[in-house]
Amino acid sequence: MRRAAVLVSLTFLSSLAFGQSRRSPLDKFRQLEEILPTPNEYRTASGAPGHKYWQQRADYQIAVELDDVNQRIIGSATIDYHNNSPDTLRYLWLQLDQNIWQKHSDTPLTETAPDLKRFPLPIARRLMDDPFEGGYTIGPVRDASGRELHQQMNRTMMRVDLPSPLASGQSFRFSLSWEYKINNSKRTSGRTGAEFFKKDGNWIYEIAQWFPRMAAYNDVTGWQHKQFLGTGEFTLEFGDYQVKITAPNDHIVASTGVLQNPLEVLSPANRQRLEQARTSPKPVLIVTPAEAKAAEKGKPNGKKTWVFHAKNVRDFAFASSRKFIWDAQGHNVSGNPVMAMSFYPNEGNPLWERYSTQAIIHTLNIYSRYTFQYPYPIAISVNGPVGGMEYPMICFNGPRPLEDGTYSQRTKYALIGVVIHEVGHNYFPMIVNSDERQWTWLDEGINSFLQFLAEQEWEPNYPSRRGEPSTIVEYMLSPAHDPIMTNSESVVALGPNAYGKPATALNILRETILGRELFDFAFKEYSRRWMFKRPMPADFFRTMEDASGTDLDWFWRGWFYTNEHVDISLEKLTQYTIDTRNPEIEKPLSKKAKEEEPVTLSAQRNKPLRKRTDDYPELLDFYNKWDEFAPLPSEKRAFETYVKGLEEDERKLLDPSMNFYALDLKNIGGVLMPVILEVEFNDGTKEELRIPAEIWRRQSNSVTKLIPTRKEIRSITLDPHLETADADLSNNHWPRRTVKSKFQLFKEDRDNKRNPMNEGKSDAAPPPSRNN
Amino acid sequence: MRRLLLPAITSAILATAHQFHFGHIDANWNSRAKTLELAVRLHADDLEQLLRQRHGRPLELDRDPQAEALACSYVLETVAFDQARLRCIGMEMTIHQATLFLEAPAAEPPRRGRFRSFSAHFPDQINTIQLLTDNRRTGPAIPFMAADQWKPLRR
Repeated sequence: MRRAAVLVSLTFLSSLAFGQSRRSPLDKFRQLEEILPTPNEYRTASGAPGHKYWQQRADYQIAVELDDVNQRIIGSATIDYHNNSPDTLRYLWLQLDQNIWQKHSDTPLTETAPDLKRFPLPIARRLMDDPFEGGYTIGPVRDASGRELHQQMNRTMMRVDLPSPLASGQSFRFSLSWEYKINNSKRTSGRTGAEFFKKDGNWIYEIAQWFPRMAAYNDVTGWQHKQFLGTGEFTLEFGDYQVKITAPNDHIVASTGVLQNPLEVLSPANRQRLEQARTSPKPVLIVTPAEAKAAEKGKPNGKKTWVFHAKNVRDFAFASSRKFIWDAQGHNVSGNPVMAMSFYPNEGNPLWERYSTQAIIHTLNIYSRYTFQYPYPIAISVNGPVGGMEYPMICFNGPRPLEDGTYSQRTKYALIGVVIHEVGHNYFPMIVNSDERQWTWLDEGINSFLQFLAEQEWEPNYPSRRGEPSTIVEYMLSPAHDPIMTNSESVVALGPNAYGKPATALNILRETILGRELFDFAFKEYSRRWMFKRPMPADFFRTMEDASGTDLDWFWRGWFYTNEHVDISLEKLTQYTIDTRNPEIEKPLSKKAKEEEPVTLSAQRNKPLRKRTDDYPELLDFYNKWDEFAPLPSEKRAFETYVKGLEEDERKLLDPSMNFYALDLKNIGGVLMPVILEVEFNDGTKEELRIPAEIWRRQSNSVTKLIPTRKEIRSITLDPHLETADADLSNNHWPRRTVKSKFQLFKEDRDNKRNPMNEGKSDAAPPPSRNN
Repeated sequence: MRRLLLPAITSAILATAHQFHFGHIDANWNSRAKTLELAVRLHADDLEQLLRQRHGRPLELDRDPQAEALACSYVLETVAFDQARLRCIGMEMTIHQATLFLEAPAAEPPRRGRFRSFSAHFPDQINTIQLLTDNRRTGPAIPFMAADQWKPLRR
């Protein structure tokens, strides 16, 4: 540390300036209005829906048959499309997501080459002998009078030309039919599919994105008919659904919506158990493992049609199998009775019976606390071929134990985590209906953030994958790091970009920037404003600022619009003390400083040499004896005169015990963050200094902070609670500390540290070596 | 030019839920000990799936007594630095991540590296090597896309 005396002038405290580095050319605090869309009567500057906000609506009546012999879907639908926009429409667009399985689909065409020395079997299969050819076969589209309408295919989109323009406020009814081959998940995985169990010859079907769905039409994009390439999921219109699902009569069907005909499709025992489940404090088995096992061995002797109604949902999905165990528990979610239910095969136990329905209820409790009351009567989790995917009231989750019924910790937490995540999607984007075809993060990132909050209330020290700042550092340093505001299909690494980084950003916003009270109020306001509506990113940014009363444009800019990372460095600490001008104080200090100066090597070696003045002391005169650090009478008189001229309050400023520390900070990573300092003093006490990010507002690359204190500083630690995602901890200490690498820590601890997960490794073969 | 195309029948593994295939090596050259010290971080899900496929049994990283040896063996096949004689000294597991520790004598920092863990299995696999000397970064991380082989690590 450099120590320097400050010459006190009476304007000292206000005029002292530190920091000599060149100014950053760009103001990182400039407002986002240069990027965000101009507010209008549909979307306000405060981030709320405008007074003329509108959205379309589509109601569906669907009849569908599940062909368990050929793995096909055969459906027909009548759709009532309501034009609530101010515009007149001459055609409608529908999404045909199944067409990504067509032979010449854009999805495989636009895939880049895999490693051609060794490439995975599914890719080989698709490219060579046995490609899966799916996609819709669409029948004629007819209006309410039976007249055939012109339809135009455009890969995963279909245009239906209207017989006459559909004016604002008018509705249009039309019908169509379709069928397609269901993808076998073992060969072609996706968000929907069928899983075959060789040992008993049965299938589990998870059926989603399975009918021609109305594309969204809105005030920002017009028709959202961006092609489906497999990553950008979808955005849809809300509506009411009446769906009749015909399946083999030994199947159990789980679906979006409320079952309308339990008397026709459920046994008396099923119905009685279901009734019992409504008030049970624990999940009740509606179909037991033994009953599911027995069903696996049976054959259907006919078909059953299950009828479901769902109100105000943006989509509809279902699952069907004779292998399903079914458990349920009624739960009151802040006043709304909800039936939480899980459907899974015996292969899912013992994991599923223990965790799935519990995780559903936990999710509804936590998410409703941070957003709004869960508005639907049903929440379902299904185990089948899909790893994790969400639809209104129902979601598909993949983790299962091993065949011997045991499971690892990772499998356990993978299941709990994915159920929380997929059930949580009911809130975002199933109810807060953002556009995932354009912005994955707006639902996945927000949902991952809430998932983190829910996981941390599941059990102490829950091992969350995402949310903590340290979990995102590696990605933010990587070459795959894209700005969060990147289109869903263009993101290189979707998981950390659209899930992990926004989850961390919101966690930092909550814990470090705004604090929990301001954040939670603003976040709830966003959720409430956009419930059953379609927000855009600007609506989120603006609402969070509007309701928290905080300008966060710098935060959105750094975390959402750039691919910079966080790395703030403690560069230097300089101690300044007051120059009291009192020779009785200053001269001894100067003497001490002189004595502390290092002695040169020559001086050290010359010291023992006999000097001439040792032999001839008469050569010594006044200057050899004078103590330059002894106060002179003239200096003492000058100080007395100086003090007499000061006012009483001015004299107090000449306090020699006051220290001023100038701390030089450098922003290496680029992203602006608050500066959080833990200052340790020589007396052993500590103090935390939390400096808002606005410290960077005039100089975004380097600043100097003045710390006045009566104590002497021993050390300073930046970001002591690891709350800012700082990428390099080696420059977070003054004085610098040696930071040991993970390798060195592992090597040191290897002999006396055992990972509890790895107990039982004593029989392991010694690690191999190789010559390269 | 004609080259042989070899479908890797045993390397077909399921896509995993994290949707991001990423591996990272902190490659630290210890100037005092004259050793190269590697911490190779991989997604535990991917590594487990891969070892199951390679060895044809339902192996679990956190419970199988052979897991560390098998993981070491795989990493030693897919990671290389110059002519360094790498030795795997162990593995550390968290729920989501496996870190393998490798070392080798090295008179100087490595000039070239090769990091192909999972590259043959995921077309979107991105690996990075961060070169350090005495635990301080010497430059930006070097990316390895799925098709990349040897790459220079320093000028």
